[in-house]
Amino acid sequence: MQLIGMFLQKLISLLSFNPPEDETRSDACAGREPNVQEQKMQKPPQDTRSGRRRIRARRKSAVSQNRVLPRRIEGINLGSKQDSSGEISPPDDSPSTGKTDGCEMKPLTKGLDANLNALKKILHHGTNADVVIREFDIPTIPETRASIIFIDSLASRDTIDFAILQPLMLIANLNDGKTDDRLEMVKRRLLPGNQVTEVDNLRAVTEDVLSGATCLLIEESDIALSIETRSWEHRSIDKPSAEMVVRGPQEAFNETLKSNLALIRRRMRTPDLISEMLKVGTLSRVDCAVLYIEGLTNPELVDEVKRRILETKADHIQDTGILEQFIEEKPYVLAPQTISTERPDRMAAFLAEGYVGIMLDGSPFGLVLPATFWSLLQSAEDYFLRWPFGAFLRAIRTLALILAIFLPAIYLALTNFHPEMIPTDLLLAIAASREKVPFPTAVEVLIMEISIELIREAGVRIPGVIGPTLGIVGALILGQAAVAASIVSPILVVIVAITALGAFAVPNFNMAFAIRLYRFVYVLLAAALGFYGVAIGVFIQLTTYVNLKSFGVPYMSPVAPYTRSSGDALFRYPVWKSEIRPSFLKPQQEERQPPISRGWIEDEGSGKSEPGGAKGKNHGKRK
Amino acid sequence: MANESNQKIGTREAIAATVYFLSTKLLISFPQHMAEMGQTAAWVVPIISFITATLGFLIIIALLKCYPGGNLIQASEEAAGPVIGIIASLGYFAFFFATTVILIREFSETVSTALLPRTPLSVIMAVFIIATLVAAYMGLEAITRAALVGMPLIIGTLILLNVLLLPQSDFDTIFPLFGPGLGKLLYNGVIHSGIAGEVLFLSIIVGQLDEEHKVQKMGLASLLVAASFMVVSTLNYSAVFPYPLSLHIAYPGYEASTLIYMGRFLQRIEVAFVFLWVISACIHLALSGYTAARIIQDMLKLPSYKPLLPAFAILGFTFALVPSDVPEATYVDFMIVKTYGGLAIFVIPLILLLTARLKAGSKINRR
Repeated sequence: MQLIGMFLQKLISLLSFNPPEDETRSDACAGREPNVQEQKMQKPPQDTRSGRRRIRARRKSAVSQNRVLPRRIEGINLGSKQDSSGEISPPDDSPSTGKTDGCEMKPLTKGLDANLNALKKILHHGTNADVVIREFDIPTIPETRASIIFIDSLASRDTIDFAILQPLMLIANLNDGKTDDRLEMVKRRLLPGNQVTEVDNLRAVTEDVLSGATCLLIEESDIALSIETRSWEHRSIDKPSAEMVVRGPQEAFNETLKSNLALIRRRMRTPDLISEMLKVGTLSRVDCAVLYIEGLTNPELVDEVKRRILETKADHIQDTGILEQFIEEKPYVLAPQTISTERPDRMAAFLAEGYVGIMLDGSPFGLVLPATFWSLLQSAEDYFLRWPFGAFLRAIRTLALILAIFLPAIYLALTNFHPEMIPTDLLLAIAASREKVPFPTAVEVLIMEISIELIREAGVRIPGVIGPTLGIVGALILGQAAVAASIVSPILVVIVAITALGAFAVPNFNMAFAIRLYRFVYVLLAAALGFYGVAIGVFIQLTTYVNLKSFGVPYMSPVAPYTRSSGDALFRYPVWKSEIRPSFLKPQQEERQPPISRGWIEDEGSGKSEPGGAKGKNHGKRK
Repeated sequence: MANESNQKIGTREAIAATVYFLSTKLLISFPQHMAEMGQTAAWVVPIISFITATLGFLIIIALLKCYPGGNLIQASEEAAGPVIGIIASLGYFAFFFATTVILIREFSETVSTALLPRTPLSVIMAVFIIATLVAAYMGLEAITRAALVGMPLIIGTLILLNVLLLPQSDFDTIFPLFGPGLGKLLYNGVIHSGIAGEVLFLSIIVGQLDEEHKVQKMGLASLLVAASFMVVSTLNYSAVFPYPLSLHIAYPGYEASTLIYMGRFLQRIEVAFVFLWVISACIHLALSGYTAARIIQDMLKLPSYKPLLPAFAILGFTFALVPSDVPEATYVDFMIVKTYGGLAIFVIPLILLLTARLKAGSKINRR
């Protein structure tokens, strides 16, 4: 029996394609990293493995060399380095500190010319037309040589002229003996700008200059002053275009990170709202803000989000749509694993629940993490309306989701496999309308679905006001002409139109996209196996969804697995009953509001009456 | 993907999965066999069987308590030594594997009859197996969560079906109340305790339960809920298809759903029910396939059950084609697997429990 067991174990190890233990251990336990010379001298060993296995081994090796031992949190491997205080610091070669763009962490020297030469080289001064270096003298006794560096297109000229150069060049004879330190004097007495910070290395100077600040270098000082002068042309705050509501705030994020953060802070005036700045993109080095509420949000979730951002090694990330693809759990699953929103009020509401937000400079969409299936069906307006209306909207949206995914497949299954289910009169009507159509129903459905997708895509790409018009005209004319030409039956036009409306009613753009693709899968399943195929598809989709996790949180929470929440999943309960935050987020404070949130209603028996004369009832009290 | 042995499942998920496991057979020829056993008292047979199975389950729990921290496979080995332990485990495996194989055939035949009469049976079976293989590969967490999401649907379907069938029901047909006589009814009920044998599933996955100490409560709750489904539905089918007509209805659930008539516009809605039954069948098959693989994994102390799944799928497909027709498959299911197999899976733990107690007693005496 033991022999059989050993044989089976061997067989399993062969089947499961695990690399031999020695192979992985040699990478993970190397002890020290070979230096560059050693690496050059060592001839790479002949690798006989297949391409995919080789790449996998290389990745594993890279991971084992760069990371400290992983820490497990809710099934997540945390691999970034932690200092003694438990703070996560970026890995050595991460975009925020690495030597990835040729700009090293060299300290500034006391010689102004040396510093300027180094910076000129880094910033390609002379070739780069918008890099400005202005040298001047500060009229101290004796005169002090100084220089400012800024990017013309990113910095405010007025601020530089009137808040930096004017005081520095025109106010003379300040050597009143109060301080001998020129830098200290300049910083404290000559620069009226509201934000001045000291930087001591070339990398920091470069980064500040490239983000729109102006750096002041002074002779005989190895510290530069970075002065806030950021100012560039940007779009003003506009109405939301993808998440419109009738009732509620009409502001949307724009491409400027600072404005976006201001929009959130205006709605969340707590000092505990933290916006941690990280850099993403080894080349573009864009500012990325990780938002959460200290003392409320699960710190492990925050750490995991930061870890994934910091360990993203991409050269250019210009939108949260790209960042999202780098940090999501399972890229091959169609379901969106992050919530993107352009509404600051929605972002603030998510933060208040214990979610983590990500804002990227240059992106008008923020990301909310983790995502659950139910949150993708919710709209901001659900909460702005009274609860019965909000609940009704949710029910309509759920129906829209079902129609958008299944309606063409159900039509196909019914007409092809189970016509007995269709009432006789309707069956005769369908048969009559299909009489002259030469195609099988499956082909007919595919023609119409692809046509709708074409109209939609063309409508988006056509510039200006023609787009929506073309969409409507194209759909009407195409539908009418296709019916007249007996290419499709009229009932199918109705089916496809309802399906398209269903997809538009889904509030999340990514989810709507996933639905469009799922629809094609279900059409094919229904064409092949009728309702049986659709049922099998539903089962596989269901198991995939319940198996999916977004940042360690099960995708179908709080339904499967069941966790405590205010029941805000498929239904929408009264706001005064939403007493707890979703426990699947493991917030530090689970209670959102006390059981009696409508404090103005007195408990029964207190005898105090309302202004209208009616006795207070126990509304809002959770029994 | 998280290591499968680290996957933990909650109480609700465990109960939902066990209820699915126990009651999905209601959708195939179960009521017909109950009619064979109990005649007009077909609905009484599941009550007796479930009570017997409850006693069997309590014996299993008692055995598990003798060896805390282990599941039934480990407990069997510790109680009776490796050789007898492995033989006992093979017995459990045989029950679940045979259940899986027969259900593949029966569900596929149901789909072939109800939905796809012109599609080859092998294609229907292959699709079933692929779907359940995918789910079993994802692991226990995925299957049990799918069961939890699907539970309201299946409860709703059963309630709707039973309510909509009321106009067609004639409850006078359930008399005489004890059918062939109380003695025969008791005998048939006890020897068919295997119809609730799937409750053994909880003792196999006990280590993966979030609240391991509540396994007894979970089992009893699952048995109670599943027994209610079985009894109410069998009673209703007996009222719709009175004995002896009920002996000739292969799929009473399906046949009954074809009788639902809600006016000229809503009729022949059985396809909608079959849609949900297919999903239930997939959950059941995924659970039984997973359990069979887990038993072998624990028995041979393998690091993972996953490489076993493709082999089981091919074996299941092959064996499912062995019975020449549906009556033969159902005969094997109810007359062999659910009778002797069912008894065996409760009797084996009883013997093991006695052995464990004797061993414990002799140890105390030695001291």
